[in-house]
This record gives sequence, C-alpha cells and structure tokens, in this order.
Amino acid sequence: MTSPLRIRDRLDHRLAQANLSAYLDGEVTGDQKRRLERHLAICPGCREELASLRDTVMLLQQAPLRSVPRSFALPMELQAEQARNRRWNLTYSYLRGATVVATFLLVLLVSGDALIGMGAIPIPDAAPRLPKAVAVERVPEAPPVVEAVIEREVAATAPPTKVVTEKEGAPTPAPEGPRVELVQGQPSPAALASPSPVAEADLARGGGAPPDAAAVLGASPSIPRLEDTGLAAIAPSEKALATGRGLEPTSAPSPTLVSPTAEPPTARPTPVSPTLEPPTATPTQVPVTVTPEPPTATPTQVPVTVTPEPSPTPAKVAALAPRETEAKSAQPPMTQPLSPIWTVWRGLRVLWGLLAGLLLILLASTIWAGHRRRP
Amino acid sequence: MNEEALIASARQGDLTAFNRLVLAYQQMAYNLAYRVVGNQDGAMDATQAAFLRGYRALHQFRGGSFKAWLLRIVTNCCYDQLRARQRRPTTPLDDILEDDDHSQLLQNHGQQPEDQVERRELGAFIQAGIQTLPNDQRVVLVMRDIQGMSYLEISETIMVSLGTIKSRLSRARAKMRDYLLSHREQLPDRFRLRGG
Repeated sequence: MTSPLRIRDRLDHRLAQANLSAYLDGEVTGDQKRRLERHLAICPGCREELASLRDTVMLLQQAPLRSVPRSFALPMELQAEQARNRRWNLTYSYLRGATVVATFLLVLLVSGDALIGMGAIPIPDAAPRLPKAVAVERVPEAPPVVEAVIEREVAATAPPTKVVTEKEGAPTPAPEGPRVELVQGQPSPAALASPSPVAEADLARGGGAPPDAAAVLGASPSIPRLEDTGLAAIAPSEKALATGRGLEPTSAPSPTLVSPTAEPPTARPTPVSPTLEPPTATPTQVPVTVTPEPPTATPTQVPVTVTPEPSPTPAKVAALAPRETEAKSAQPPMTQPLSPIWTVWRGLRVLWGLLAGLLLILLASTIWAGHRRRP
Repeated sequence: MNEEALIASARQGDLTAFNRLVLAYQQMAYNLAYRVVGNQDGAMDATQAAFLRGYRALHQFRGGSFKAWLLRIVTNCCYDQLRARQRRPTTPLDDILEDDDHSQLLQNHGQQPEDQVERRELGAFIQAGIQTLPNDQRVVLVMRDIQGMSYLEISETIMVSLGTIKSRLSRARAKMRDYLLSHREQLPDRFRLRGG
C-alpha cells in the first residue's frame, strides 16, 4: 500500500515537472512555490532539470540584438492617401448604416402590410353606410284603375292652387305634360276638345276650389265616363311625367285611365333634389317644367297644379316615384368615406414601395463605396 | 513629446508623429521579426508591412499598451511571411551566408574566438535552434527570453491566457535545452551547457 507521503511526493514531482520554467521566472503562486521547494530538496532529478533550464535561459538572453538594416519610416505621400481612405471609410460606414435601417423599415412595413391583408391585424370598419339618397319607400305601382281613382280623389281634395297658365280662360297653348293617347274607344276629338263648363268656370275664377273631378266627369258630356269609354289610355311613363314630356306611344294597352281634368300628367310636380325634404304643410306652387311639343288637343287639357300635401299619400308617393329614378340618375354614386386607418394603409403601401427603391440605391452605393475604400 | 501625445497626433492623420513612434519601436519590431521569420529579407518585409498596417489601423487603437498593440501586428505579419514561405519555399541568400557562418563556427570550434565573433556565432546557433520550434512556441520564447517581455505583456500581445504562455514557454525551453545539449560541441566552451 502506497503511503500518503509517497503519494504527496509523486504529486509534487508532477507539479515540478510542469512548473519549473514558471518557477524560474517567478510566475508561480505561494503554495506552488512552497511545494516546489520542498520537492526540489528531496529530488535530484528535478534539481538537474531546473539547472539546465536556467542555463538555457541565460544563453538565450545573451543572443545579440540585430541592428536595423534601414529606417522603416513611412513616406509622406501616404498621408494624403490615408486622408482619402478615411473619407471613403466614413462614407461607407454611413451608407452601411442607412442600408441596415432601410432594410429594417422595409421588413417592418411589408410585414405589417401582409398582416393587415391576411386579417391578422383588425382594422375598424369603414364609416357606417349613409342612408340612400331616396328615403322614400318606393311604393309598388298601383294598378292603373286604382291609380285613376286615387288621382280623382286627390284632385277633389287638393287645396286651391294657382293655375299655371298665363291667360285665364284661354285654352292652353301647348300641352304641359305628356300627351295622352287614347287607344280604344276614343271619344270624338270634338268632344274632347271642348272644355267642360265647370272647368272653364274655375279657370275664369283664377283658381278657387279645385274642380271637382267627379263633378267634372259627371257634368261634362264631352268627357266620357270611365266605365263607358273603356279607355285604354296609355299610362305615362314615370320619367315622362317627371320631365313633363310627351308620352311615348306604346302598343301595349294599359288599363290605366288618366283623366285629363283630374290630374293631367303635366300637373305633376317637377323633380326635386335627391335629398327629399319633408313635404311642407303650406301649399306652395311647384314649378312645372314645360317641354315644347307639337300642340295637340290642348284646349281640353287643363293644367292643374297639384300641390304636395302634408301627409304623403300613396298617390304622392307614386308621383314621387318618377322623381326617384331621376334623382338616382342625377345624383352621383354615393361613396362611403374611408376611415383614416384605410387611408394610412394605402399610404403605407406607397411608402414601402418607395423604400424598396431607396434600399436598392443604398445597396448599390454601399457596394461601390466598399470597393473604393481601402480596409 | 510623450508617447500618448504622439499617438493622439498620429490618430488625427499626422504622419510625422507616427514616424517618430516608428523610430522608437523599429529595432524591437525588427529583432522580433528576424527571430520569428529567420532571415533578414523576410524580417524587413514583415516589419515594414507591420508599420504600414499600424498607421492605417491606428484609429482602432483603444488605448492600453501601444507596445503590445504594435508587436501584435508585427507577429501577425510574421505569420503571414511564414505561411507564404510554406506555400513557396525559397532559400534566401542571407540564410546561405549564415549557414556559411555556422559552418565556420564548426571549423573554428578549437580556436579562441573574439567576443564579437563568438556572440555572432552564438546568435546564429541560437537562431538555428529557434527555427526548430513550432511557430507558437517560437514566438513566446523570443518574446520572453530574447525580448525580455513579461508574461502579462506576452498575454496582451498574442491574446492568449497566462496558463497557455507558461505551457508553451516550458515546452519551448525544454526543446531548446535538448537542442543545445545535443549540439553543445558547436558552442563555445564558456557557453556550453552543463549536463549530458
């Protein structure tokens, strides 16, 4: 069994073999130095080793220094070259930094754009849809027969209005509304041409009580009754009524009966602005748009201005329906205002496109400056 | 002007100030390069390249030991020379002359040499022994035993730990001792090592 003393000596011997050179230069710790000196006292081999190392170091230290064969000072032309290199190095550093920043920003913008496009980043919805231009509920077109009845009722209850015609009692020079063409069972033109005495009386009064449509129809022998005539008058188109133009003749018979005295199409109010204003309570005269047309049986056509009533009746709604179409066509298409976020998003797309171009320029400049500079 | 002022002026681009630093360190740098490379031409090329590289990289000097910083550049230039020589092995004229010197030493080992001749021969002999060492041990041995640098300075110059320096130096000295003992008859009598 190996004694601890021999183990310690063995360890000290290994320490000496590894640290004799450092011990020679004084580069060992206090504990290492004590152990080395204890071992050197009992180990002749380590003492010989140490002596030979000491002689080697002494011999090496006696090696002569060699003199410098020439001066190694740098030429003065190098100073200007160095100044030029410094400027290029600085330019290169700035360009490299700008390229890094531009790359980072571009990656940020492209990532944000992609995330928004994929819906990962929620964007608030656009402004709530504005109400449509025509708020009036479009009433389905009533059957022609019902329409005629409604018109008669309206004429009967309409407040007194100012007649549009300039000369009282004189027959209207031209039709102010669509021309109603009778297709079937037409009464004689003469019968139609002669105005009813009741209507003429009203005209002479200069607008008083509106002519009683029923009375007019009933009293005037010239105007055939609805049930007798079996008229297949052509209902004026909505657009024609709105513009006051003449009817376009159609071959398709329509059961709509239009009384020329009750409510000629020309008496329909003119189109109003798309933003419909609520009907005013006070009766106002609505200007009537008159389009020139060849005169027809004008004496029988008594223009009657229909004033809007406070409470819109279905007839009124139907009358307004033609205006709805024109209002739609006249009004520019409504666009929803964009929210600020959408505007910013579009701006970001333009921005990162510009940034990509700038990055390419910076990359080319950086590479060129890198070739010009001397590292 | 002290060294710090010269360094500060040279960093601003003053070549005159840097040349004054060159004059102060060129002998140390050349001797290091000569002992590591092993020939005069290689040592001159390595020294000139080191000073040129130092002037261009002076803006990277962050303070501390300028000597250690400069000798690090010299060491790296010496490594470049050794690698180039390994790729394109050549025999410089100076080496042939030194070999002749060495052969003259062998022929004149019985006569009493003059001190200058003895020292010159010793130098050549030592250089031959150093050339047998690996590059990393060679550098440490030259810096410590020929240049007289401390362990800390060597550590700052070649950027290695103190333990690595102790290890390399211990092995280098042991190999030099073995070389000198095996060729001690070529040494002058007063330089011969004891032992055998």
